[in-house]
Amino acid sequence: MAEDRVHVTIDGAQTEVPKGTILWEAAKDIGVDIPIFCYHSKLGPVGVCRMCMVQVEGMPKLTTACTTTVTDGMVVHTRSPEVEKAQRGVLEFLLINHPLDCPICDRGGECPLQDQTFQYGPGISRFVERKRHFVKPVRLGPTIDLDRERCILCWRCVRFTSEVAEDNKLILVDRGSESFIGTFEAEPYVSNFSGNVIELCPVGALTSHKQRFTFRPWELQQHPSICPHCPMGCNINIDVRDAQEVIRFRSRTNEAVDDGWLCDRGRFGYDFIGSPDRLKTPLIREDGTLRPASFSAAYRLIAERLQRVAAEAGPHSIAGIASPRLSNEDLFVFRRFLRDSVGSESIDYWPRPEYSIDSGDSAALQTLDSALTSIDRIDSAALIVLIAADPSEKEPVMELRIRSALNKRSAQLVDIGIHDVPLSGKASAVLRFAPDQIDGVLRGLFLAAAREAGSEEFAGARELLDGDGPVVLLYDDSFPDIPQERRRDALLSLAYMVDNLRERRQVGVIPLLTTSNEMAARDFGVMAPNDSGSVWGEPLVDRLLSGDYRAALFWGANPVGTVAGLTEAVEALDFVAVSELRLSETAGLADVVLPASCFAEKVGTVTNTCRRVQVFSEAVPAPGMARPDWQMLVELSQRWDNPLSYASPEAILADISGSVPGYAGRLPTSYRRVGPLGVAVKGGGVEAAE
Amino acid sequence: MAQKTVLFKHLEQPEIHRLDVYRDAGGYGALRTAVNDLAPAEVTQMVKDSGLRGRGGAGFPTGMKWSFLPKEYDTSYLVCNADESEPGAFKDRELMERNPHQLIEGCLLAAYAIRARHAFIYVRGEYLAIKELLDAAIEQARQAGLVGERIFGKDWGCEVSVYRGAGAYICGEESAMLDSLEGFRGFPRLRPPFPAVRGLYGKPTVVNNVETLANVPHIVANGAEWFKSTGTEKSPGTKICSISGPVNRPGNYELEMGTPFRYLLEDCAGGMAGGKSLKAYIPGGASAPMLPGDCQDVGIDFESYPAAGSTMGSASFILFPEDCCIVFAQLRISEFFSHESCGKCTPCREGSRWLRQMVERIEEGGGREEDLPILLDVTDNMVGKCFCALGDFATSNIVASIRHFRHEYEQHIRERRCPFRPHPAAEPLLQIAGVA
Amino acid sequence: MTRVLSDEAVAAIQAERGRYPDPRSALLPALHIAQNEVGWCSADAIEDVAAVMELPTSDVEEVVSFYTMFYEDRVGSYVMEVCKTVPCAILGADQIIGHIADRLGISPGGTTPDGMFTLLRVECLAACHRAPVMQVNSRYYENLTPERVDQLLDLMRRQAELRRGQAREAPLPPLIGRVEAV
Repeated sequence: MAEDRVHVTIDGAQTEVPKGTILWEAAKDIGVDIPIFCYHSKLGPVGVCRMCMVQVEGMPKLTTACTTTVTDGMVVHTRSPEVEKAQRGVLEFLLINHPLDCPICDRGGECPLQDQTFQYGPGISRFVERKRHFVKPVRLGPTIDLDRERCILCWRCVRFTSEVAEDNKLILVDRGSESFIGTFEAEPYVSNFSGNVIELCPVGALTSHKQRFTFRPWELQQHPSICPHCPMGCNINIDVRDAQEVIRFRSRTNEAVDDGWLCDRGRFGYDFIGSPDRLKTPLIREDGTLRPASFSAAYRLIAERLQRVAAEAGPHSIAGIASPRLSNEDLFVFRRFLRDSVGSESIDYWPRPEYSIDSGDSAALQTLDSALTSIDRIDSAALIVLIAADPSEKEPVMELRIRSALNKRSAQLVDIGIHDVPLSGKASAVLRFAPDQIDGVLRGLFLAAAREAGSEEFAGARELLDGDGPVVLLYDDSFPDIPQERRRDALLSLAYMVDNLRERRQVGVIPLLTTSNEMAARDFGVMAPNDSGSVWGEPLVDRLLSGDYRAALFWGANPVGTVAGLTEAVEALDFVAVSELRLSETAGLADVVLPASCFAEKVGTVTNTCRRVQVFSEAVPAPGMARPDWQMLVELSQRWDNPLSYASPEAILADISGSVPGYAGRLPTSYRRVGPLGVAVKGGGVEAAE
Repeated sequence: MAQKTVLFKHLEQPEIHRLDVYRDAGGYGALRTAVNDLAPAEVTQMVKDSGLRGRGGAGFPTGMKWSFLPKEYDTSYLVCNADESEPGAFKDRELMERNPHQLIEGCLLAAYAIRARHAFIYVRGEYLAIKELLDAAIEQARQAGLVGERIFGKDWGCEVSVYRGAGAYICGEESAMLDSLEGFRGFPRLRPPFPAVRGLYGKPTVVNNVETLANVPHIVANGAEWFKSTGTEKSPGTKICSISGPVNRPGNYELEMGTPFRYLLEDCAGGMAGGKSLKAYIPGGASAPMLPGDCQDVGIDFESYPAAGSTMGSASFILFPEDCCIVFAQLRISEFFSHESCGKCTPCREGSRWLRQMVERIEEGGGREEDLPILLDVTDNMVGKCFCALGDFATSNIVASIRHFRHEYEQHIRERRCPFRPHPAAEPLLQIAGVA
Repeated sequence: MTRVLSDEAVAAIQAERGRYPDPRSALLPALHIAQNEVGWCSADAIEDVAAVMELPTSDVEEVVSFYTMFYEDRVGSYVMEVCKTVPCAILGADQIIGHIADRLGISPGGTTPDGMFTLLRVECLAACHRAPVMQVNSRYYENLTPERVDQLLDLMRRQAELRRGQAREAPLPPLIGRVEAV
């Protein structure tokens, strides 16, 4: 037996676990179920619900498995008569003031209290006194309703707000049996992460305001998927009723990505899926009005018009702009369609960083790319550095992972940026600068002259950067707060900084991107090429404004809604085709509009901010005739001389796996083998920082 | 065995709260001796040898508690538990009011023994006047070079701060007291780690009761053997006994450990008032099981009361006369524990409320035959299963009152009313509360 | 938000913060200071304390609501807290509470319409040998009898009249000395 492992016997079964393992976890590992309410592996043990009492030989009293650390030779009984009586006792205590409203409770059917009462509880109630009453339900905030009578005071929610989100919003009010969960002066509970307390609650006390009384858990089928709202790629289950209706998103723990948490934007952002304004058929403009049409008519028209433009002005006069929220399969086929069928290299995604870099800067890009690391490396970082980045805004769950690293693993944070962000309060050093000074600051941290000049405000950050241990550096390469003309310099300075830092320490970088599959859009070359043919050329949207193109395909992208002057530029084009979920501003200007299915209506993969490729599955049918983008593109390509021939998304996956640099050799060729938790491709934690 | 004056010097020298009087009587001599002539470990050893046991109720050997601190540490703290919230207890109050320097010297000696440079006296919130008095005494001691830096010109110094609670019995539990002192709700902490390892502000900490610390100057001044010459072998020294209820002279009395309760009742307190007889009494505050009134020959010490089926606790004697309704008394005890449960753990939070509700129903005439076994089973589901000892405390008198006065419960249930009503004293309230 | 704490109170809290190895320890003292000035722990008072203590208001609220001596509701100028725990109960505490309630025309927990008196039933005050006992604004009154209570109520009313028009800025001056054992 290794020195750092101990033996424990639980209900007669012997197991060996690492020193320091909590008894409850050791039991769980060998399949011994110890009932629990307050304990949660992501929250510190408190030992208050007393449900997990077990008998440890040699201890005079029962002890709580959630607060006991396994010691070598420990012999534990979880089903002795004494333990069973204690469990019945605790359940009886929890139930005496709990309303018997399971038939109308949202949690009924997936309620730990209900389940454990069934399994371990007393069959009857001996309680004839007056139950404790509270006004209910209480609207805790925009997302959460609270039923204080159902609450069993496990304080998971309180601990979540104080230990994980650290906004201290939920508190225990009053004392003893009068205690209840609340907020200061009943102020609304507003947080980016409020929805997590619904899942943490082991009873039906905290329920979703949005979903209250709209479903019963046993009506739902769950489909593993990936949250589409940011490039973090948090794992979710889509809960669906009658194979038709999306009822809710729940977290599906992936330690390498989300640590089990979701942000509210992700958790509650599913209305678009079943929205009545989804496109159900192709539309063709006739007499100035978009009218329903067949796919074949739409494809015929697109092919005719694009081929005419290509004949007159060359294929490069056809611009293709995709949305980086499309799947890997969609983006890959979009790129192939444009390049191989249409013959155009005029391709980009939108929204994207609004600056370009030229061939001379490619070393900088390579530096950043080669240092790309995985999200879970944050856990082992000694130093976390934010460069003009706000994880809370861009990839909110990243904020929780950073907080966890700072709290549990004594990492330190340096915040280098223009203004305070929610994480600034956790920083050991803060370096603020004017928007146009970013390159000077990033270089100044390393330039010998500047170091010696010893600018005071640099001292704190510099001292930490000079320390030991792995560094994880997070940056936002769209540099939203930096003047546009300085953004390229900012990127180059960032690369300079990483280069310098790498000479002394292990450095991993994580870019905070804007849209869910932006990393794949770049990896697949769905980005305007620069003079050397690599990506990061001038944004195509800018060139559309200057009238460089004759026709355009907008695949899920809607720049007209946000870019000034683009309406006129798009109206001036000979032909515009759009694939969309809804009739967006851009689609409103199109000659042909195709109805696309969204991520919940198809199978596919996405690549997250750290190049982890993860699979989503089909949860609900697409509305009307809507189809996956890859499928429409394959069908459309049949009208060109070089058609595409994918019969299934998995065939595209195999092609990606065989041809995309960095993915090749790492990405399995089937969804089954990619697995429920995804795989890291190049960057993605495979070799960076090692 | 009888009365003996060690801690209650103010009975002989009423002005001893004054620094000059205290010093004239030899006060701060022990501190001078310790700081000049004894290593910290020697002070601990002296206290260990004396056999002094914690006076807050648990009776843990004080010197041993001090020696649980780790071998090496930079910072440690001494906390004096002056929360005194156990119903029936009012001894620390007199010790502080009448002889504050005795406690301050005790704190300093304990702090010296554990090399602490900051001692805190945590007084219950209601003791505002005592806090002010202690603050003034500490200030006097500081002026005299007895508190603060370089005490008696040596390298060691110690700050003494008085911290005022705000109304929570649970803060008398040592780990909850530390949470409260750190500015939080007074929740007991998970153990291990114990306060001796990770206590106040995460540093090694010793928490001792007022009376415990008040003994220390006398032990250091007179030696362990002197201390052991008083009291019993396992419970040496004196004990301040608080006696309340219908006796002729209620109050605090300092007795040699081992003195029978009968002596306290008859010789000190002058016997029962109004010629009533003693139906029952609680020897150690509301958390200690009550005993029948005829158990009067039990010695007041840490061993005799457990043998008699109770505990000496803080030696806070609450007496119930013949015309007192035990169920009513139990209701007030259960109300207390339900009110004071911190709510952290399930069995105490829910169980203490349930017990209170059941006793209330029986007292109000709604009791059922099956209630007594349920009451006892609920206590069984609490004892040993709560986060801290308060849960056990909430059960002890339920069990004891049913054990010794089951017939009173049964009479309530049978007659569907309280046979003692109108209570000699309680009637007006019951009308107000609308429960009569 | 209106600041309700005086500069002196804020300075006193700041001074408390400096007295402990961790300034958070000053929270209970700070709340005592605030309540002494405001009369109770109002939302405004909590916000002021939170600001000086550099804590979230929710943290302060958690602490306020835990301790019975911090009043979460407005109380009268004289808060009469009568012990109802067992030693006092068997020596007439309920009679005293009933008497005060009758005299003031309020139930326990209530405040007189003029805002002068609040009557509370509280747990043990550690003066069992002088039962029944009560505290009024942190001062002990012991060995209470209905007659003694009447005298006290008269004294408090007279004192309040003398103070009428003055803001409640300081703790009440000594009302009367301790009622010695009878």
